[in-house]
Amino acid sequence: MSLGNGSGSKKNQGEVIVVTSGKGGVGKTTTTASLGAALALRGKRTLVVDADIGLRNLDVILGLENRIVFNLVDVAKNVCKPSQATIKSKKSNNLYLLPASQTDDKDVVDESEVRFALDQYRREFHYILVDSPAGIEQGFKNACAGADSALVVTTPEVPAIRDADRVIGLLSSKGITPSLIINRIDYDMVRRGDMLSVQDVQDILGIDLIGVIERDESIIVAANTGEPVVYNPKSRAGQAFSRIAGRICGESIPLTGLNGASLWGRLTRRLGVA
Amino acid sequence: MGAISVFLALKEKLFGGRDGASKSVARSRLHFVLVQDRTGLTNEEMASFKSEMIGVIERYFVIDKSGFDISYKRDVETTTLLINSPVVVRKRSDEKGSRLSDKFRRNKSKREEAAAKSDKQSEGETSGESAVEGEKPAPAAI
Repeated sequence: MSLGNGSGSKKNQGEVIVVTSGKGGVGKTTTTASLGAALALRGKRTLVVDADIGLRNLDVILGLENRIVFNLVDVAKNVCKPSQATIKSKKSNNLYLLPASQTDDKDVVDESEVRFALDQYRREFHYILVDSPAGIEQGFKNACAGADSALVVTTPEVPAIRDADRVIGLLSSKGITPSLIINRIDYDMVRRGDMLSVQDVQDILGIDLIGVIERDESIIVAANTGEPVVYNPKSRAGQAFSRIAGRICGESIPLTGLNGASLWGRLTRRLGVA
Repeated sequence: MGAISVFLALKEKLFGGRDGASKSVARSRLHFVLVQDRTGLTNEEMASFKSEMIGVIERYFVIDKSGFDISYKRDVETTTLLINSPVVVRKRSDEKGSRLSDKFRRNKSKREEAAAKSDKQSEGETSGESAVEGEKPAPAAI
């Protein structure tokens, strides 16, 4: 499944994918960092862009906070060359970060300036993942400005789904049909009837599902250490992000086990075997 | 006692399925807010849209208003306004219909009576013209 809507994904041109959600705290930054690392592991040159101007965090999730010199605003305003602002990841030669400015306001750049900044990276990178700020105001609009396609992250909770729905509507009006990532699902709660299932969320939002991430402590550990979760081979969340990266690259990886594991799988997991 | 509760806990863990769990509440609350969000109609506007829709449908059908539901469903390509209205009978004004209608009226529940009454008020239809197409109320999507 390629995410491209056709508009910007010309030959030899990287695809710009915005990661957004409406609601804050559902896992946009973690998703951007993890997918960026997973795409890089697949040999794709990937740039992750922090579009949350004034509240940057992608740098710390990637463990690159002490290397920042220039940022997205500098590139947008032509203060520096595009290559001067990107920071290479410690773990991969294929993964780069374009950080946000921490001191500016969201309104300091407009949509055409962001588009100008991102377009300059299309030749060098296969994928440009843009971490959108929460909300639907200028910051969100800027993040979506140069995007060819979008990933909407939600959790199986009422406020997150409601906001995701709003964002899907806004993206549709821009001609982008996003793909859905359901984050932090807990299959035990789904089975007890205390959490909306993958199918429920999909039915409500009505867009294509590209992946499901289970609630997983290894995400917090990864954030603590600044090392993306996809480098932890035991992490179920990391494995799920890797599968999503594969689907972004056009590999057909079936969406399996959406109701949780089989009975045998549940038993073995409970016993710590699997 | 202990063995039973352990068994029940294990059963719930492995097979799930507790009645009255919170997920269905979440789903119906989402349904409500999303119709508002997606249509951009206020509560009052939605209420008047709903009652006008019911009015129009009742000109042609006797419906079970308690099951009337409006939703706004988005799919990958299209967005659809879904109006779901359980139809009790279709109205017709021929004689045969009249007789059937009498038979139907003897059998119908209180709620259906109320629906028919308000139907007459709002649409000004003359009495005894509802015809029974099927004896049992059958929900139908419109």
